[in-house]
Formats: sequence, structure tokens, C-alpha cells
Amino acid sequence: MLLGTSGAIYGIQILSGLGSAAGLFLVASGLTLIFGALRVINFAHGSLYMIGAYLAITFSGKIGFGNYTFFATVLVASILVALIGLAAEVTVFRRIYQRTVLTQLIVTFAFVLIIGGAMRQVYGTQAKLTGTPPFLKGGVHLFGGSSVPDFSIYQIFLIALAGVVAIALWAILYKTNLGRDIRAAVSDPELLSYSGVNVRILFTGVFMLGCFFAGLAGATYGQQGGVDLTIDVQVILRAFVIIVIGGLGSLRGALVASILVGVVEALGTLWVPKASLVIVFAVLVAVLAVRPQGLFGTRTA
Amino acid sequence: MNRTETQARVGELAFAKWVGAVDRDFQRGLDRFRRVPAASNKLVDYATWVMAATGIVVFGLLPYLFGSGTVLTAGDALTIGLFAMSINLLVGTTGLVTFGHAAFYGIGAFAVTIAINDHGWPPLAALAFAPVAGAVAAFLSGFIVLRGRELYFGLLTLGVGQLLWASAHGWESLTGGDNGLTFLTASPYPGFVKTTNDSYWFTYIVVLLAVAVLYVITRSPFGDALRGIRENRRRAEFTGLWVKRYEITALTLAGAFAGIAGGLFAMFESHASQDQLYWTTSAQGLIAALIGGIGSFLGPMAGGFFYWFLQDFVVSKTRLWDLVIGLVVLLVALVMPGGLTGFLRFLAATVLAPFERVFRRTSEPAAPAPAEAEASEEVVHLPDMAAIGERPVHEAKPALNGPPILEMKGLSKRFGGLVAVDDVSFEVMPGTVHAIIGPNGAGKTTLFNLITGLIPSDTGSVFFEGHDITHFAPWRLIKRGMGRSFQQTNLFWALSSFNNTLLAAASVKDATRKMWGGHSDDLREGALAQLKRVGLEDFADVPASELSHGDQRSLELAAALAVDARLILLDEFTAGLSPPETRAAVALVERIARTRGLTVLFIEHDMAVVFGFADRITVLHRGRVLADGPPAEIRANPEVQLAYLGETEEAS
Repeated sequence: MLLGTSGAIYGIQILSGLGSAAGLFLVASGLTLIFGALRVINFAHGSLYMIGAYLAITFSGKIGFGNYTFFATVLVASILVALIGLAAEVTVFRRIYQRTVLTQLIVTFAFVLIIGGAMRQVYGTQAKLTGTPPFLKGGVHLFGGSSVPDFSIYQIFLIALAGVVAIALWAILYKTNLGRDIRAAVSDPELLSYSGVNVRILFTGVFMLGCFFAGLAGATYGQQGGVDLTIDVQVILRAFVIIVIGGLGSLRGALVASILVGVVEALGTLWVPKASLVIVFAVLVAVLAVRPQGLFGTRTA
Repeated sequence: MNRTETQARVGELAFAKWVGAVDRDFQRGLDRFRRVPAASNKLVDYATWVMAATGIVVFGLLPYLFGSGTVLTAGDALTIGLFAMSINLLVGTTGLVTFGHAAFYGIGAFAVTIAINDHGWPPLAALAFAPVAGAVAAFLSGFIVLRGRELYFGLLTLGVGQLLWASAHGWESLTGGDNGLTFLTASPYPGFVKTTNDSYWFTYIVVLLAVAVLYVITRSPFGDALRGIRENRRRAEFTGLWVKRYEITALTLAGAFAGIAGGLFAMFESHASQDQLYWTTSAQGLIAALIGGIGSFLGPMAGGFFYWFLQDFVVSKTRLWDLVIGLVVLLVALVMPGGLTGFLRFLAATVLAPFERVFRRTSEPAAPAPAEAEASEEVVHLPDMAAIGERPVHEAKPALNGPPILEMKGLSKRFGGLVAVDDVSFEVMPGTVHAIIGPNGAGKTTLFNLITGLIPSDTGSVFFEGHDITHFAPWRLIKRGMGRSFQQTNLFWALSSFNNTLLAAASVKDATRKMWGGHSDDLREGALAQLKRVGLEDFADVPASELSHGDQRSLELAAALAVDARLILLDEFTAGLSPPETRAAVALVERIARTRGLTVLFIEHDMAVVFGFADRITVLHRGRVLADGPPAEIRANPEVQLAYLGETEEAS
């Protein structure tokens, strides 16, 4: 009985780890997509995610948490974040693609500060609570012995959504002309521009797509339960760890690393509750000490 | 393109021009700023010194000048400025973009607090412990973070920094967790520090001393080596620098300075907190460095002051500090790549430009302007051998019988399914000029890379002067007397021609380990002699990036020779040169080789060069040695004609 219970605890933790892995993958996929094409590490990705979460909460506060309004809310929030991304790309980001790593990091970090400051002005420092749409309420019992459901429907939804996004991104990158152009831009944007592709617009599009996923992640994973103004930094650190472990620019790597980080952190809270973050960074350092380019990265990246 | 689009384009171009074009590097961006109003560097340098001295005096007298009110802010600004300067030793000088440097800053803070609280150390001893703790932590982290380059290095430092922060956060019994540590003694300072003003002066003097030490290190031969690594890591390795070791030394030093800064901050605030290790503190230091100017020595300190006083001001008025600093950072990064100090230098240069002519006329005749160098694209700079007292001796007979200077035995390298180099064995005799030819993809450059240790060979071995050098790192080979030039010109781009050769001459003798003073006169004279040998003495002060392509090749030769090479490997030395430049370059190499008894092993596609120059030729074909012998023999070899010469003649 005792063994059974502890087995169940591990099982529950692994499942909840998979749930957050799905959410983290939604964030990391956009980040790694942008890095893959534009070679820019975007600190502000977490801030865009935060905007997505706050927008979703604002809208659902107005139109309520229905089954259909939920999807409408998520979609509108994601599109708005993509448009904010468009504005940022056209005004600032496209000027830093050719700059040094330092300039890129600092400029995107400046956006973290600006967006954080602006959000505090608009929403105040108080945490915001949210509801859950009816069809995502409740949970399922996978392991017996407890009356509390051990795997929430919301997490199952997140896992499904992450699956859909992964397949969609894969299809875009490998099955469409757009994807072919993006992959060509990764290896040589100059050559691609000579073959008649407007690389500037392509880059803007990729950036917007990445921001769309940031907004999507914020509106689904991010707004779960409630939000405050620290989620930008919380999520960007984990997303960084994921895309670095997976190999910068690698979608497959982001998927594998999300699961790794999600599950390790969930189990970590079980073993050493205070040091789950230590474990996440220890995994990062351990992986990179063995493979400096990450699990699926190429050395030239 | 329609009209508005054209206008937008013109506007954008104008913007780019105004910014100083798209800068690849802050140093270069700064250089551009400097060059705008004539070459008034010397005057501007004086102006910079005056500004720096004024700043030092003003902040020394701050409590008298502005009252005690500013002292609290200024004390914090001094420490964050020192922290930013320690970051700049890595970012600006060495080219290592770190994002986790706050870890060492925080460790310094906790080192002081714990030494005083838990172990009852006297304040000065505790403060002296801070840099030691920072340095040790940085040194150990170096073994992990230096496995990554550029962006990966930055992200690894972020990871290790956060790991250290999370550890400090979790280890409550030592660090107090969320609450941090407050000094248990009445004052963390030595007895002679009694008032707040005293503690400010204490901080000021320690920071001033630290900055002085940092200045000496930055200007030393060691600092030159770090700048060389920043400019071109591979070139640095091929001038005999054990790059990793220099990088880890720089990291350790930066950790020590960050440790002092953190310790001083904790003493000034009477409190150490785990926030000091958090990555946003690293970002704060980077922002200060960026705003102040990464290209100048005191820039980060100026940035620290700007950051702290602006914060004080903005926070007292509004709650918009994040927004304000974010916008300032955007503005500086996009419009003023040189930062505040770069901008000040630019202003000084503009203001002083009219006085420049007066200054010039009264002091010295003008040096050749860099513009001349650009104009003389096609002019070939041939050295005057008689003038430098190196009379061409009669062709030294190549020692064809003695032991070979370089010997390859069964070298092989496989890339996946492709066998790039396949069981290659041949010898190079001392004093000979030995050519390697072969069609594209024959494995010539791969062979060079195997010899010089850039890639490890699968099987086989290489002997240099009888010693097994297989798998030797490049810097070890260079120290043993081998030099190499690359197919693509490979120089310390932002450094002057003179510094390119000087660094090569110094590093091979380990003179770049010296962390104080300058280079010895012997080295400087030797480096100048090398420049004369290739006819570049008039361009000693011109940055390598501004030389014509032919002169860059000559400079690369000078740098390869400056390491006192007995064997030099030239990979398509004439690539991209015009016919007259090619002739001059070949004549130059030949003269140097014959007069100094240098052995030359070179890859070449130009058959006129090969047959007019080489004593011996090795033909590679699909990774294998097809033929090896004197030119006449190679010319007559039917296999070679079939596989190679015939092919090229048809092709060309």
C-alpha cells in the first residue's frame, strides 16, 4: 500500500510535469522559431507571453468564461500579441539582426523593462484571478486512493494544444513554400534575397508567428489560475533553459527539452521542495557541459 | 520601387549613415565616431584625460561640493560602476558577453558579511576575502561556461549564475534566504570610518585603487592579448596564445573585481542580499556598461553613475523607472553605439577639430592619412631589401638529404562517408619551398588543418623537426616554430598593423603573460622590423581592416613570420590578388624564404606560381598523394597530367 501510494505520487507529479511541459513548449516553440530564422535571442518573449495572459483575462472578464468565448478570447489575444510583435519588429528588432550578441540581448531586455513598466501602469501590481471555461473544469482519476482528481482536464487540454502546435509548426516548416523559405533564410538570408524572396517581410512574418505563439501560450497556459507581473521573467528563464538544452533553433529539441524540464522540475519539487529551480539549472549546466550545442543543436549555430 | 518606398529607403540609408552604418562591434562603432572629424585622436585623448581627471576629483570632493545628501547614491553608484567595469573586462576587452556576472558580485557581498558575522574577521581582512571568493567562483565556473562560444557562452553564464543564485537562495542557514544577511557588528567598517562621509570616502578610495589596478592590467601586454582574442580568436591561437587559458584568467580577474564591488556594496548598505546574485543584477551592470560606453575604459563607471543618479531622480518623481531606463537603453543601443563616453569623445572631436590644424602645424608633420591607403588599392608595396640590411644571399641549397623538417605518416581523416585525406605520407625538407597542388576537394586545406591541429586526424601522425606533434593544439605548434596563413585573410581587424605583428612576436615568447607595463623595446623593434620586411612600415598605425587586400596578405605573412617560424604554411597566399600583386607577393615570400632559410609549404592553384617558385611539389587527388617530386618530374608525370593538369587546362 505504501509503495503503491508513493508510486502514485510520482505518477501524479510526472503527469503534472507533462502538463507544464506542454505549456512551456508553447512558449519555447515561438522563441526557438524566432531564433532559428532571425538569430536573435528574444528576452522579451516572456513579456509578450505576459501580455497574452493579461489580454485573455481582460477579455474573458468582459465576455465571460463560456466554452466558445474562451476560444474567441484566446484567438483574439494571440492575434493582438502578434500585432504588437509586428510593431516591435518594424520599429526596433529589424535593426538589431546584424548587431552583436550583446546589443541584441540588451535591446530585447530593454523591452522586458518597457513592457513590464507599461503593464504595471495599466493593470497595477495586484495579481489577477481568472475562472476556467466549463469544458475544462474538473479532472480525471488515473491513480486510485484519493477523492481529488489527479490530472486536470486543463492540463490534458494543454498537452493536446502543444501537440497541435508542434504538428502545425512542423508542417509549416517542412511542408510549405513558406517553411522552405524560412529554412533557407536560416542558412543564408543574403542568398535567399537574391532568389527573389523579400527576406525583410519574411523575417517580419516569422517574428509575428513567434509572437503569436507567445500570446497563445500566455492566453492558455499563462492565465491558468491567475497572473501577476512576475510571470514574464519566470517563464522566459525556463524557456531559455529549454531552447538552450534542446539546441537553439531546433523545434524537436524544444519539444524534448520541455518534457525534460517540466518533468524534472515537477519531480524536483517532490524531492527537494526548495531547490526545484536549482535542479532545472543543474540540468542545463549538465547537458551543456556534455554537449555545448544542446541536444539537437548544430555546432555552427 | 515607387516614390514613397524610395523615400523610405533613402531615409533609412541616411539613418544608417547617421548611426555610423551597421556596426559589427562596439569598438568599431566607436572608432567610426572618432574618425568623423579628421584624425584628431591625440587632442581628443587629452580632452578625455581632462574629463576623466575632473570626474575623479569631483567625486572625491562630492560631500563638500554637493553636501551629504548625494553621498548615499554616489556610494552605490561607485560600486555598481566598478561592477560594470569588471563586466567590461570580459565584454569590451576580451569579447566574452557574460550574463551571469552578478553571481560573483553577490558572492563578494556574502563573503564579507559571513566573514564578519560568523567568523569575526576584522573588516579589512573580510573585504580582502571578497575578491578571493569572487575569483575562485569565477575560475571554477570557467571550466563550464568557457565550453560555449558567443551566445552559448552568454547563456551558459546565465545558467551557472542562476544556479549559484538558486543555491544561495536555498541555503538559508548560510545566506539568510529571502531576508539576506545584515551585519551584526555596529559598523562593518574599520574603526577610522566614523561618519557616512567617511564610509563614502572609504568606498571611493578602494574603488579608485581597484580601477587603477584594472587600468594597468588593461593596458598591459596581457590586455593586448585579450583584445587580440576579441578581434580574432583563431588568429590569436595561431600567434601562439593558449586562448582558453587567457580567457579563464580574464574571467577570474573579472570575478575578483566583481567580488570587491559586491563586498563594498554590502558594507555600504550594511546588508547582503541574494538579489545581488540574480540575473537582473547582471543585466543592470551590462546596461550601465552599455550606457557609459563599452569601448572606453572609464565608460562603464560613467554609466554606473548615470544609471544610479537617473534612477534616484526618476524614482523620486514617478513610478516609471522601468519604462525610462528601457527607453534610454534602446536609444543608446540604436543611436549611440559608443555610449556616453563615445558621445563625449565625438563632441570633443567636433569641438576640437578647428584647433587640430593649429596643433598639427606646430608639432609634427602629418602622418600619411588612411585615405591614401584606400586610394592605393592597386599599388604594390614591395620591401626594399637593401634598406633593411638584408642582402639576398645566393640561393641556399635546399638540404635534400638531412632529416625532414616536417613528416606526415599515414594521415587520414574521414567526414562521415567522405574520406577527405586518405593515408597521406610525405616529407618536407628544411630550406625548401614545397607546393601542394590538386583539384578542388583534393583535401589540401584539410591536410593543413590536420597538420596544425585544427581538426584531429583519425589515424597517422605528424612529425615536426623529429618530434611527434600529432594532435598538438595550434598554439603549441606556433611556439615550436610553425607559422600559418589562411585561405581567408585572418587578422586582428581593429588592431593596427604594428600591433598585429607585435602581438604575434610577444605571445610566442609568453611576453603577453605580463600584466603590467608595456612591451619591451626588443619586441617593439622586432615587430617593426617584420613590418619593414614586408614593406608595410608606413602603415604601422593603420588598422588591419583598412589595408588593401594585398597589404593584408603581406601583413598576415609578417604576423606569421613574427612568431619566429622556421616552417610556414601558406594556404592560397595569392588568392584574390591582382596579377601584379601576386608577382610581388611571390617575390616577397621567395626572398624572405631564401634569405632566412625558411621552409615554406604552400597550397596554390596558380600553376605559374607553383612551377616558378617551388623546389618540390606534392600532388593530392581525392585525398591521396598522387605524385611527389621536383617540378620537372611532376610536369612530366602522365598521371598528374591526366588527373589534374589536363583538367585545369581544359577548364581554363
